[in-house]
Amino acid sequence: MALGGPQTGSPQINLALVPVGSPALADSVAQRIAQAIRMGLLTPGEQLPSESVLADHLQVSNVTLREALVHLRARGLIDTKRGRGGGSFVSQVFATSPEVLDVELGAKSVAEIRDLGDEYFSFVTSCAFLAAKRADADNLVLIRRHIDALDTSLDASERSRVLSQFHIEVALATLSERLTRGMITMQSQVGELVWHCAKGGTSAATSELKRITQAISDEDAEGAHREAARHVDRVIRVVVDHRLRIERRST
Amino acid sequence: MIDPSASETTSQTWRLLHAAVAEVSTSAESMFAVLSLLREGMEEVWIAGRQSCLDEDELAGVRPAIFSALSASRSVLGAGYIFAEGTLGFTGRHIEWWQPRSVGSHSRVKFDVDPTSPSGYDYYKKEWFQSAMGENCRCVTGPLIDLQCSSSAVLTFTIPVFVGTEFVCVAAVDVSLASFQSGIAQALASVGQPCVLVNNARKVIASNDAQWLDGDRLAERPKAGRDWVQVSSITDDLGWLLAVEAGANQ
Repeated sequence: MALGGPQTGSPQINLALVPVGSPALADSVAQRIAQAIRMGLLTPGEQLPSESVLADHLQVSNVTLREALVHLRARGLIDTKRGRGGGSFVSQVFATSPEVLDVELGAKSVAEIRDLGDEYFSFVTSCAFLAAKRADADNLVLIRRHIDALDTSLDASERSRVLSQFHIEVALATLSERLTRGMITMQSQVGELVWHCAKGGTSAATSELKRITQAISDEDAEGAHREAARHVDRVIRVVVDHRLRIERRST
Repeated sequence: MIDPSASETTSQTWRLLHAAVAEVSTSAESMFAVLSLLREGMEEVWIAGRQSCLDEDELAGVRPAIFSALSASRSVLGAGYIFAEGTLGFTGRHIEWWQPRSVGSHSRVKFDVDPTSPSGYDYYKKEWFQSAMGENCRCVTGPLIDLQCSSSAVLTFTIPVFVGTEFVCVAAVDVSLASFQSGIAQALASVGQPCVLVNNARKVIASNDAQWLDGDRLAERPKAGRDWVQVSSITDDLGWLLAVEAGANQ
C-alpha cells in the first residue's frame, strides 16, 4: 500500500489516512464486484445487472462504475458485448492472466508479501479456532462440499475460487460478521496468488483442509488452529518462493 | 438433610426462570405472528386462483404479504416463500425472497436453486424444509450468517403453508440476532443467575453471562442435574432450552 503525501506525523496517523479519491473508489468498486464473483454470488457466464442498477446498488456514480468495469475488463474478469442482448458478463474463465499476476506479484517486495501473509495467517487461524467452537452440522456440510469440489476441480482459477469459498465458509461458521467481511477481502487479495504460485496439484492443500475440517468437526479448537497455521505457513512460503523466482529470472 | 434456605432459593430461581421463559416465548411467538401474515397472503392468492399451481402473475400477488411482513418489525431482515416442486406452473423449485432496503423500498434476492448445479442451494435437503413437509412443523434455524441474504447474523423462522392437504411452500422470515437478543436481554438479566438460551444444536442464542457467547456450542445439551439447576424448554416444538447454571449457593 502506498501512503501518499509527506510522511509527517506519527505512523499511526499515516496508516489511518489512506487517500480516498475517485480512482481509489473505482478500484474498491471493482474489488467489490470481483469479490462477489469469487464468492460464487455471480457465476461465470452470468450477466451483471445493468450499469444504472449496479451504480445505484453500490451507491456510486455511473462514471465511477464504468471506470470499475474498465478495470475488471482489463483484468479479463468480465466481457462486454455490445448491441441487443448485450451487457457485461462474468468471463467464462474467471481468472486474472498468469502474466498479470506475475507482474502484480513482482511489484511487491518479499516484506510486503510476508506482511499480507501475516494478516492472512491471523484470519485463517482465528476463523478455524472459532469455527471449531461454533460450527453446526449445516456449516460442516457446506465446508466439506468445497473440499470435494477441490478434488474434482480442473484448472487453477476454479481451484482458487473453491479454496476461497472454503475459507469464507469457515469464516461464516464463526458467526462473526467482521471476520467474514475481512476474510472475503483477504481472499480477493490472496486467493488467486496462492494457486497461481502453487506447483504440482492440489494434494497438499486438500489434505491440509481435510485436517482443518476434521478438527472443526471434532470441536477441537486448538487442533483446528494448529492445522490452519500449518496450512497458511506453507502457502505463504509458496508465494514468497514464487516471488523470489521472478527475481532470479530477471537477473 | 434438606437446607430450607436452599430449597427457597431453588423455588425463587424457578419463578424467575419461568418469567424469563414466558418473555422469550412471547418474542419468538411475535415472529411466528409475522409468518402468519405470510401464510394468509399465500392462502388467499392460492384460493383465488383455484388452480393446481400458480403462474407468474399469481406469484406476484403474494408480494404485498411479503412487504407487510418486512414492515412488521425492524428486526425482520428478509421474508418470503420457499416453494415445493410442482407448485409453480412456470418453474420447478423457486425461492421468492425479499429484503428491506431503504425506508419503504424492498429488493428481491435471486437464488440458484438448481440442485444439480455445483453452487446450487438444495433446500429439499434442509432440516426445516423436511420437517415442514413431514409434520406440519414450525422451526427456527440458526443463529447463522447467510451471505446471499443479509450478511449479518440471523435466526430464520419457518412455517409450512398447506392448502387443504397439499403442501405448497414454506413461509420464512430472517430475524436479526442482535435485535432478537435486545428484545430478551432484560428478561434474561432478571433471572439473576447465570443462564443461557441454546438451540437444539447446542448453539448459544443469548445469555446473561460472558462465559457463553452467542454462536458457541455447549459441550452437551443442558439437563437439570449437577451442572444446571433448572432447564426449561421454550415452547415445545422449537428445541430451545433456557438453562440456569448450578451456582455456588446451590
